[in-house]
Amino acid sequence: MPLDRDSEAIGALLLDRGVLSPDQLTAAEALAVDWNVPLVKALQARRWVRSDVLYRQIAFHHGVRQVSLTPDSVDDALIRGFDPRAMNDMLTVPVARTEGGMVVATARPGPSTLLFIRDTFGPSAEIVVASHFDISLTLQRAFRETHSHDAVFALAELDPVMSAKSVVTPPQILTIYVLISLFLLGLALAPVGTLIALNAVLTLFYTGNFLFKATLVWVGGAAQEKSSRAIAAEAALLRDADLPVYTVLVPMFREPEVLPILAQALRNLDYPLAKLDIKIVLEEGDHDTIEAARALDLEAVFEIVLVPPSHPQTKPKACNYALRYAQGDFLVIFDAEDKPEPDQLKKVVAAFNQSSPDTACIQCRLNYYNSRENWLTRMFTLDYSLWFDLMLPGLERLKVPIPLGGTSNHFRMDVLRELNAWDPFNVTEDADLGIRLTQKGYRVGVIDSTTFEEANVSIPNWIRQRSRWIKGYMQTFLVHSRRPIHLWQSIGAAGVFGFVFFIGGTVLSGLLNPLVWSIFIAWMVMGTDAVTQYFPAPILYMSMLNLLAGNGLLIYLTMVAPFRRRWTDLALWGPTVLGYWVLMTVAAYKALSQLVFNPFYWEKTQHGLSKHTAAEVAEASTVAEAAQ
Amino acid sequence: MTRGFTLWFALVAMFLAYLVMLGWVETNGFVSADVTELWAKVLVLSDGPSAFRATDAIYPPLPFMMALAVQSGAGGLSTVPVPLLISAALAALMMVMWFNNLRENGQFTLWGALATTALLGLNPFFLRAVTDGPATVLAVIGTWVFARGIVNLRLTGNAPDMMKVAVGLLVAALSNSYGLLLCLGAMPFMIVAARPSLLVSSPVGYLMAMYFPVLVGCISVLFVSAVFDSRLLPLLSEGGAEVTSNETLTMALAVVPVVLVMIFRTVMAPRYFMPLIAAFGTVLSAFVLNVFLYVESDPVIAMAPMVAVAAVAARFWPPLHLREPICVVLLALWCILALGIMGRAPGAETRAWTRALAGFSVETVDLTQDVAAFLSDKSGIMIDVEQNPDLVTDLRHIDRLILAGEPGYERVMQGALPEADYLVVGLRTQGGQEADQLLLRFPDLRNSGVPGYREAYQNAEWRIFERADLGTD
Repeated sequence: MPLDRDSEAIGALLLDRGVLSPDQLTAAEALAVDWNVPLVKALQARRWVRSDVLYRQIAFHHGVRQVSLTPDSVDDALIRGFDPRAMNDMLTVPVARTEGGMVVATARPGPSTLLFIRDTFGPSAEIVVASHFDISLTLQRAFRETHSHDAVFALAELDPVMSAKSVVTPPQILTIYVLISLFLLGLALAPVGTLIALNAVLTLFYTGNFLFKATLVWVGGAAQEKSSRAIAAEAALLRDADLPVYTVLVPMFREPEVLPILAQALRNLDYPLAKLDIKIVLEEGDHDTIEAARALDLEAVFEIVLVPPSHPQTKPKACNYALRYAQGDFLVIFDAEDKPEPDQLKKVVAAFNQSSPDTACIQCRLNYYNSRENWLTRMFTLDYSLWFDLMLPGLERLKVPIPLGGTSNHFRMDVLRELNAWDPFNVTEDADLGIRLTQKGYRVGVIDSTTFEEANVSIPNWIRQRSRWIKGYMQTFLVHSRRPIHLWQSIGAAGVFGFVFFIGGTVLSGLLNPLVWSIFIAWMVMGTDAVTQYFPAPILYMSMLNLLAGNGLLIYLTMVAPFRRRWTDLALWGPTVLGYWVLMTVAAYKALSQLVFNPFYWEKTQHGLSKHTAAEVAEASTVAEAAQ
Repeated sequence: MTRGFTLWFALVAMFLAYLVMLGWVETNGFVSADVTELWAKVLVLSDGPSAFRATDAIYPPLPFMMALAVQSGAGGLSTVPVPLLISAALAALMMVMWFNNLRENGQFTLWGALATTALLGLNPFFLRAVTDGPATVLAVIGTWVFARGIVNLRLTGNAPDMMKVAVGLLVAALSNSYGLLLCLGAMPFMIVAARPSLLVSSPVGYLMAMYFPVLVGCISVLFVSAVFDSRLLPLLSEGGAEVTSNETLTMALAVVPVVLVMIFRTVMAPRYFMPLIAAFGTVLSAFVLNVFLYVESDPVIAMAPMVAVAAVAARFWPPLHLREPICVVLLALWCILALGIMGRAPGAETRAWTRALAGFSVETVDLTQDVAAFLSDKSGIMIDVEQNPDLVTDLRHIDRLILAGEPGYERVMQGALPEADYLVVGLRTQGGQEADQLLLRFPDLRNSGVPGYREAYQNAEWRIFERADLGTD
């Protein structure tokens, strides 16, 4: 599509005034044509023109004033009288009342904006030009309190049964109370029989867990090959001009050192930078990161969103807040240290094109770039390879609700807003949202594109991170089991079975393992007589099957997991997963303790500990300094 | 008719056809030692006293558990030995899977797939495997799963295909002691078959992941054997007669050329050829290793898994001109060759089976039947059932026996004089060693007797003693 007239005129003006060189203009026009965006958007994706200079020329071209929006020059009360989303979409805000009407600032002057201004603010509004950055900041300032409240309470107020704000509901407390009472009564009246019954339940649970995971791997391993090829083929054929605007949320907290890596990773995406709406989401009090982000002097497509302080101080709350300023048709969350494969966004667009209309989210795979750093990173890599490469595709194939993984989940923006986005009270808001999407009748897809992250290199740090995940799974299980009949009706029998074993099973196995290990040790040390009366023949045989075949199978699945990526060297470490299970148990008990005493506390994982990350930070900083 | 119904119908028809064949050879007096032993153990465990204490380990566990499940569920309703029922069912299942695989994945025509499957299922090596019992059929199935997996793994590198390789080896190892040799035989060929990309990072990691299930399976069996204080290692070797290299070569010549021709058809496509040659090499290596290790005494049984390799080779045969006719001719040729050598096979059982299949009666079993007939109206019979399984299967009714684990039996083993009405001892030895527990306790029972008992019956293989104070019938 050729350049529009405005773009041609602005280009000529910028050249004429010496703001752009002829080569830069030629390159910018080529980008604008290829990407099917106005010239100004293409220029914002490059650091050839400073923002204030660019907007001054735009104002000159349109024959209007250019203004700088400061807190003193803007009437926040006036802004709050209009729809924030519409103003955000049009990058337009009213800044003051005049006798004849209003002064309206816009960063995107043009015919459609003019129509919007006339319809919304009246025909006599005076139009002025302000920078994208000023407009956005003004909107954030004006709606600070409202959006901060909505970010925390929107889900709890509009759909309370889906919110983890209440950790357990009264019926759940009653159920737990009755079960404990029955167990104690059984112990008093028939202790051996009760313990045998408990033993039978545990044995059946473990057997089911093993079989379910094996089935997932079997089904999941073969599920994706055909669809992966089709998605990759369509992604390769997509034209930049046809691609939609994509919002990328990057919530960060006290991570100034990884900003250069993040910026480079996002620049490396094979997606028109002008069609990326990148929001670096920072806490207002995180001055170091804010300063570091400003100092990098990033392209105009990188926007900083500052989240006001409030409780709970969680990642989902920050994302909910930033969502109010998102402009894309799709949205993805990346963590600061993430390195998505360059074609990931295109593959997701292709996957959405090929999926059924009810597909609301595409989950990409996660893995680690520092997998060989130490034993823990190897185990973590095996764990993630099993989870994302084999089990999640299995869940998708079996139509079981998919707990989304921490990052690289791509949403349709309309659905995300419809569902009130993430639950800020749930510390694994992504897993919860995956289940909620399925309950609400939407589908979650899984595709073959990987985002590489930094694996935890330190055991205490790992336990903090894992305890948060397990606590979040506990919250998710409690939230979605509040209405078991509704759950059954909305996701079906297979869905409920999968939900119980995948979410509940992950939590429960961590908590029960010490008990089972103790019984085994007692058996080995004291002989069979010590436990025989609690193990009638069928339970004994099944327990033996679990002990030998079940554990063998889980270790084997761990060894199989890295083969898809041809990382056969990691298979050797598979048998040491027993040690990893011990760590999981420690994390599970920490999670249980926090669920009771501090349910909404966000156990922060410290990033940047890896020597790989340190080396990359140093390299990226050098590159950034050189570029400046 | 729906496709599902057709497959079920075919499965039932195949099952009945194999049962007819098994019934025919049984009528002529042939029941393999493995079937007899397995059925006897299962009869004793399922129908015998709860106090029964086995001294042998539950090995091989897979056929054992299957037989135990069927015997507990429906064993009492059938007069056909339960292992043979399972054997026929597994063989029928194997046939249906071969057919399905050729039709669906190999794109064979209906008649081509039918003819190929029929010739595989009628192959004398496969028929002999079916009569040998579920352990051998499971070894064939394990080999087929392994061979399919190893070819697919080379093609895709997917986790399920990797799991097929491992599961195939595991099934073989847990079904038959010869299966352990198959696992051993596979070791070098895993490298031959592997995708180069899987070996680049770590060949050791690749091999370890492939063998891990087998390793865990073996450790598990050892662990269970230790927990239940049972003998495992003596069960791993049959200690059969030494087979000469000439006999081995003859047996191999009946199989190797045909299967090699089937595999070499893919020589121009290494991604097929290498894993197929690896599957072939696995079975051949196990066969050669067996010559030295004597795990399986019958070379025909040792070569039976090659039928599964042929089935996989047929499926991956390139869909070129005359594929199906050539395949059918080769398999028919193999059947003819096999029929020619079966009568002169080195294994005594195979020779007996061939005679029984041809309609001749097999005499040796009658001696045990005579003993069973003598004991038909007796009770209080003390016998070592683990060393004399054939008598157990002929008697069928375990409740008349006094077995290991019961107080009467245990007292005698610990030094007391017997009080049972009848003492039954088998005179056969194992490798020249006395095996019957009663004979070990009372060596005089072989030649004379023990005080308080008189001889009531004797033939070349058995002696029965009756308590002296019982009235004669």
